[in-house]
Amino acid sequence: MPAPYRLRIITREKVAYDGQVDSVMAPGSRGSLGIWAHHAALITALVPGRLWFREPGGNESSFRLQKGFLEVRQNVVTILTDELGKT
Amino acid sequence: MPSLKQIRNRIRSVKSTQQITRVMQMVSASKLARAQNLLFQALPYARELEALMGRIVAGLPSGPEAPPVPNPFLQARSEMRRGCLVVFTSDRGLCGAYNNNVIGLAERHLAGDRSRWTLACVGKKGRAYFAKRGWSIGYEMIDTQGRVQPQQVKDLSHYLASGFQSGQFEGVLFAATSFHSVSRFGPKLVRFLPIEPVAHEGKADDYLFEPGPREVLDRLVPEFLSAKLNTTLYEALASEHAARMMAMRNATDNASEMIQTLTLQMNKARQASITKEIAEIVGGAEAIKG
Repeated sequence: MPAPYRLRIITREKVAYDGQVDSVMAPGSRGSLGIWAHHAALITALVPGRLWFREPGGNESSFRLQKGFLEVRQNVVTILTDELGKT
Repeated sequence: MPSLKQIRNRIRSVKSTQQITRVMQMVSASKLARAQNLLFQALPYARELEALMGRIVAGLPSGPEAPPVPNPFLQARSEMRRGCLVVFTSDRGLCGAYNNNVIGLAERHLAGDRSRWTLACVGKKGRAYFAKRGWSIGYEMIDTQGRVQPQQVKDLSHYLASGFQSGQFEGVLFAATSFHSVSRFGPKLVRFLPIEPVAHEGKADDYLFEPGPREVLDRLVPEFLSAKLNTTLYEALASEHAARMMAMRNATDNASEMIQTLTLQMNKARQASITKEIAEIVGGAEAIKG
């Protein structure tokens, strides 16, 4: 069972998501990026693509991203993006 | 003592002025609510970018031997011989001391040194003030129509960034208004360029950068600057409406007071004329009786 960690998604207009997830997939600038708990500290610029994450209950969500930044730090993933699109 | 008719006319005119100020107060209140909303929506993003920038810079190698920060906008300068001051005022007046406060702050900082400073003005009031005093205005952003217009913001940000990069000025400061709440806002001076990263508390994180620190900063810095400029503009806008709302509320209250005084005067004048008439009638009757 993967350990849950905190994901925050902040757009220019609001805090779009803040909650526990157990995995995240994001379009990093060096290819798709999968993140589990206790990932090393990382900062990357995101490229257009699909952001996907799963909550501990098995609930999955996905969004379209244009550009943004992803930071992993002390088991918290923060995504800053100008806009989130529905898929 | 003015005549009854004159007083009546004055009351009527004060009442119609009061109507106008009351409406302006209500319009400002609704515009304020909107501007405040936009500001509070934009703040988390801007704050997070700022914190992220602080953490990145804290994690970069530092010390005398370290390579320079891999982004020109982040390189601290030992002194600023030529600077650009951006004055954030409103396009319209009737907002109390709002513009005066910002202009006063700018004046104190400029200290009349025309060779050192390039002026950029947001809002007609600031431009009019400085143009009248013989300053040349390096850039102006006017006619915002009470909104933060993305294209105008882009142009201003481009002007500041390119002037900084070409060395036309070595630093950019904002004389703007910070907004905390409807009753708490005031002028403040902030540095825009070079970027002063917020101090990061605790141990610096050892980040992996993808693709590399330089590339990440190349993308992060413009985003950071545009978010900062945007929030400054939202704060200025919210403060302007708050200031106008308060000014108009005071005007409405003053008008009420004036109407009260005038009504009292009117009643006195009316009573005086009645008393005079009665005295005349009584006097006349006495005379007939003989």
